[in-house]
Order: sequence, then structure tokens, then C-alpha cells
Amino acid sequence: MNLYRHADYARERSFRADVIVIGTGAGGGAVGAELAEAGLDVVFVEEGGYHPTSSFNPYMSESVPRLYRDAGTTAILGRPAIPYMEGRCVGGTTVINGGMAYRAPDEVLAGWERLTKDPAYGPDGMAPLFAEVEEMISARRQRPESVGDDNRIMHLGAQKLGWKSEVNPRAQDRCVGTNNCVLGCPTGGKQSALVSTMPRAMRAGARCLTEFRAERLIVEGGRCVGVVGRSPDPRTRRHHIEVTVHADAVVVAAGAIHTPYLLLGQKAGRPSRQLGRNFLCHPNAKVMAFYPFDVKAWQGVSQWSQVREFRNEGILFAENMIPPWPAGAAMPWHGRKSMELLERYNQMLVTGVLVEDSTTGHVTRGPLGMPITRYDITDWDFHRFVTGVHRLSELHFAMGADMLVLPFRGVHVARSMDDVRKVTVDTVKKRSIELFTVHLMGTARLGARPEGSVVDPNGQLWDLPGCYVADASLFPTAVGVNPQVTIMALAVQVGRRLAERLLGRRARAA
Amino acid sequence: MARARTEGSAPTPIRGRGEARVPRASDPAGAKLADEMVRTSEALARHPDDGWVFAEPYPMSRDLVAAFHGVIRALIPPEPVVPDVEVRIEQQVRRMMPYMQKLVAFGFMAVLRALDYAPLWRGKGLRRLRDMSPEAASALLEELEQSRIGPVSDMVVGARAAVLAPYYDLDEVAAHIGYDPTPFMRGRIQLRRRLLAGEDAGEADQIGPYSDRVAALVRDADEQRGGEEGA
Repeated sequence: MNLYRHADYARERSFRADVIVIGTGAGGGAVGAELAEAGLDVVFVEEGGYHPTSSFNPYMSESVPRLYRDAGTTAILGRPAIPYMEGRCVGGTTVINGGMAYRAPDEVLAGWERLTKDPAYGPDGMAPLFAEVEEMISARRQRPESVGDDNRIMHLGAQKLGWKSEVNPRAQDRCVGTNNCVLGCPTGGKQSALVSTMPRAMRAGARCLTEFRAERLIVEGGRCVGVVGRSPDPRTRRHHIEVTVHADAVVVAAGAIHTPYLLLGQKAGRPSRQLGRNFLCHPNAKVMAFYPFDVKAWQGVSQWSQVREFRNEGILFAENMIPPWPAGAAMPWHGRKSMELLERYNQMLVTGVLVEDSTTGHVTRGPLGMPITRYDITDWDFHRFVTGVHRLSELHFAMGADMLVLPFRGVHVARSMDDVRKVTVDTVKKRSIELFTVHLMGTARLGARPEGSVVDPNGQLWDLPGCYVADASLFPTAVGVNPQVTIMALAVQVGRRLAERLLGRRARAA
Repeated sequence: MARARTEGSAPTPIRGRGEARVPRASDPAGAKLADEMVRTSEALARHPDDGWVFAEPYPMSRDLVAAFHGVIRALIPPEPVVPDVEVRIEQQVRRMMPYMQKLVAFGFMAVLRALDYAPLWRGKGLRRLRDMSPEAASALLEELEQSRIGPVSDMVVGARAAVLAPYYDLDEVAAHIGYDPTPFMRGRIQLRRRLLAGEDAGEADQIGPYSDRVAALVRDADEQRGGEEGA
């Protein structure tokens, strides 16, 4: 038996494996596949459920509670608060993300090499790993038949203004542009962990314990040797069954919020006090544009291209069309006004201004099993958001848009650039900007010394032998690009080093 | 290297990476599960049957349900008229609440209660939101949203998101705004199967352009590119 659900724990509550991997997303799937294919007995622990490709559909009614952490109601506290989306299902956030497949830039990796004193994390060391990961997830540019009018407008608009617009590499194999990325790809074209790394691990004999929330690590003799978790009754979400898994090593890949949450509960990360700190999130702001002609942006791939003209300022623009339900929920009006805009849904483009972090936040443990994440954008970030919104608005009006909905409370509607220019850092307050994020990173940073980092260059916690991290928490600094490929490359690195160690130990024992 | 990226593809070969590594034999049960993970379906069912059990609605008192219905009436558009719309939205939200953090779910109930009593604490008379006409209640919530007191404004923003997301997910509302994704997606699933079988996409498989304006933009760009290449 490879897949376990709540009902299965009634007869089997104790498991044994070589390695436990907590999480099945970009990091967990990649590290688990490496370990399983190396010949190790791997058990995945996944808080969410198992939902195969055949179950994906365009409706939020069941998809959101199935696929999203906390049914999509998660937020980072700060001024402003920033809602974030995270997957909670087999495949993790890769099931609901846009699938961008960018490598971390060389200048970032050069910094990582200095911080870790390990050339494996530098540009030359990471390049072959990136190449392998890109092959795993089939990272490539879209086929022409997957591209819709919204992306044409963005790309041609950038060209018209003389801005650099690049076609994105995406984790996709023959994507046909259903634009259902946020609710799971029903064609199997997007190469999420569900259809790329997890099947590899399953074929190699891994087991996956779903509907199982890891509550604490088992530590014996100062070494991490297992996980205790609970599986709630699926109907009541109460009456938990306690499940225990023992192993030689535990890899935590629960994402940049829940990885530190779990480890802080173990009182780990003490030497540096860095655990939970250094939180990064690439916040972005949406600009909704209405055109006087049909665009049908829900047909065609999301984020075919990115406007990278202002990359040096840490500002990117991308199209990111969403279904009517999040669009209606995000609109700053209700009642008749809301419907008046949504009746123009077929003429609407949703675009985003993505800003590279210039500050960090932190994650702490809150009450009732709830992590508390705090992040405040800086004045510099706010300035860049305002600048980015101005430039993106210029693109839309140049392409014929007749109205924009801007991401500032109280100043939402712009019918011309004159309206947009009224929005400045002096006329709107920083806390009035409406932000959003899906990129959560950097809370258990890699490093060369225990005084300044949480894990060593092998991904092992400095103060908890046998416990490894393999997700976006590892990032020592911001990457400034979509993080999936970098997460997977780091996870592959951690997985290989761990496999060498465990198999070497096994060979010596034999 | 073969990967599990296509439907029913062959098991992934293990890469040799050192003498100590002994690749496990392909697990037949695991291979079956792996195939199931990637297999597609044209069902696109709103309530897919994949063995997952959906939670029961979050418990709410009858009075709080009445308050919730009042908030729903205040937030949803008057048109189109959708049968049982209040109950359908209420049930959908209550089915999502068990998956939320306990504090968030509790906070949402507190928001419903506070909004229901908003006419009292805003000095709009001795009545509750549920007793107001939808138009008057809608106007009051709009006024609250523009409040300078952040938490007051946030209550309306939160309630609006919770109500309008399931509202715009209703089939009748989607049809009203011209959003009909299912036939389109079925066609794309069939197209991908053809591509996986080695066929090429045809002219009919292209998406758009849906307007003369975009068609002209594409044509101009193509001509410009052709001109530059010719030069």
C-alpha cells in the first residue's frame, strides 16, 4: 500500500522508514524522489489530501478547501496585511501555482556561495542541478496554441513602449492553455510535483501518508528519529487519530511558514536565533484592466511572458488572469457595482506588479496551532509599487484600456493616466495598498556557521542531527524570481547528500 | 531521461550515482498510483469522486445563520436572480470554515455578528442589518468600508470576499457574465491528448484573437517582424 488516508490509520498507526519527508510540494517531492530512487525507504507525510489530476475542475466550491491551506484564508500580518496562498494537498503549492521556471540569478548564487562557503551553492555548482530540475519539470516556453489575447496585449504593449518582455519558461509539457493553474491543471500539462516528482517516488516504492499533520518531531539521544502527527476525522475535522513514524532521518519540507513553525516547537535553531527570521515573500499588487473589446483572458495560459525592463529596480510585470470568483472577491465593490464590472469579465485583464524584497519578516508560533507571520513593506518597496503601477497603467492605456482598477484602497478607479498620476507616495498611505503573495521563502537559512544560519550546507539543522530542511526556507537571501526551480534544485542537493550519507552508513554496517 | 510527464509513461529509470546505491525495483502498486496521479478526465465535476470526504458544515446557531443571510443579501448583486442564493452561499462558506484556522473561523462569526448589529452601533436606528432592505444594507456596508478605522473597513472587505467568491462560482452567475469554462477545457484536454499522441496543433486549435483590435495588433507585429528580418 502506497497511499494512506484518514480511514487507513484506524488499523495502522505506526510506521517505520529510512527517511520521512514532511511535505510533498516542490521541495518535498524532489527530495523524496531522489531518496526513493536511490534505494531508500521513504515515507511522505502530507497534511492535505490526495487529489489526482482527474479530480481537477474549474469550480472553487470543493477545489479551494481541497487544495488550499486553510481554505485560502491565510494572511501575513503587517501594514498592510498580505494575503498569501499555499497548497495543502499532494503536490503542495505546485498544484496551484503558475509554474514559472526561472533559475536564481548568478549574482544571488554568488552571494550564497560566500555565505555557505560551499561551491555547490554557487553559480557553477547550481547550474547542473538547475538543468536536471528543468528536465524533471519540462521547463520550456509555451507552444503557440496555448497563448491567448491577454498575453498578446501585455507582450505587444511592452514592445510598443520599447520595454523588454521575455517569454517565460514554465514547468509544462504540451500545456494547452486551459488557464486553470490556480485550481489544478486538468490536462496534466503543468508539471506540478503531483505529476512529476511524486509519481517518480511512488514508482520507486515510497509511501505517502495523507491527511496527516506533523505535530512534533521525535528526538532520542539528541537525534531526530521520527514524527508524531494527527489525522483529523474528515467529516468533523476533530477527533484526531495520532500516528507515529520512525526513521533514520527526517526531512522537513513544509514551506517557509510551516517548516519554522514545526521546528520552533522543538526549540531548534537556538545557536543563531535565526529560525523563523529572514522571511521573504515577493509581494505583488494587482492592476485590473478593462478593454472595450473581448479578450476572454480565461482562455490561454497564465503568465506567458514577463515584462523585465525594470528588473534592475526589482520590479516585474506579468499577466495573471484569474477566474471570476477570486476576481469578484478581490474587487473593491459589492452589490450592483460589483456585477457591473464582472459583466465585463470577458474584457478584463488581471496583471501584477511584482517587487523584490528589500526587507525581511519573521514567523513565530501563535495559539491553537497557528503560525504568526509578520512582514512590513518598506518605504522603498512602497515607492516601487507606486512606480510599477504607474508604468503598468501606461502600458494598458497605450493598448486601449478604458478603465483600470488600481490596488489602493480609496483610489481604485483610473480612466486615464491623469487619474493614475494622482496616486503618489504622498497621496496614498502605505497601508492602503492591496498586496498578495504566493512566494514564501527564507526562514531556515543555509549557512557555513551555526552562529549565522539554521542549517548547515548539507541541509541539516546545526543543533538537531538527523533533521534536514528541503524547501524554500533554505534560501539565505531573496532570489528576485519565481522560486520553484531553485527550491527543487536545493532539495535535490539535500536529497543526494543525505542519500550518500545513509547508504554509506548502511554499506559500512553490512 | 524518461519522466512521469505523460499519461501512462514507462517507469522512471534510476540514475547510477555511486556504487553504494542500490536502486529499488519498481513497485507495481506505486506504479499504479503514479499512473493514476497523472491520468486525466473530461468529467471536470464540481464534486469529484476521488475518495476524499468533505467536512460537514461549520456549526452555527439559527440566529447567526439569519445574520449571515442578512449580510449575504447586502453584498450580492440584485441581478441575476438566482434560486436559493442565500442558502447556497451560506452552505458553501460553512463547508469551507472547518478547514480554516480556528481563530479565523471564530473571527468570521464575530464579524457576522458585528455587521448584523452595525445599524445600532452606527446610529442608523434600532434594527439589525438583516431587517434592512438589501439596498439600504448594501449602502451601510459601503459606508463602513470607507471608514477610517481599519478594523471596521477590514470587516466589510473580509465578509465581501467570503460571500462574493462563492457567489461568482455559481453556475447561473458564471453564465450571466459569459464565463463557461467546461466546454473549453474539455476541448483542450482532447487537444493535449492529440499532442501526446504525436499530432500537431491546427489553425482551429489556436486561442483568439477575439477582436479585430487584437487581430490587427498581431498582424502589425508580424509584419514588423517580417520587415526587420527582411532588412
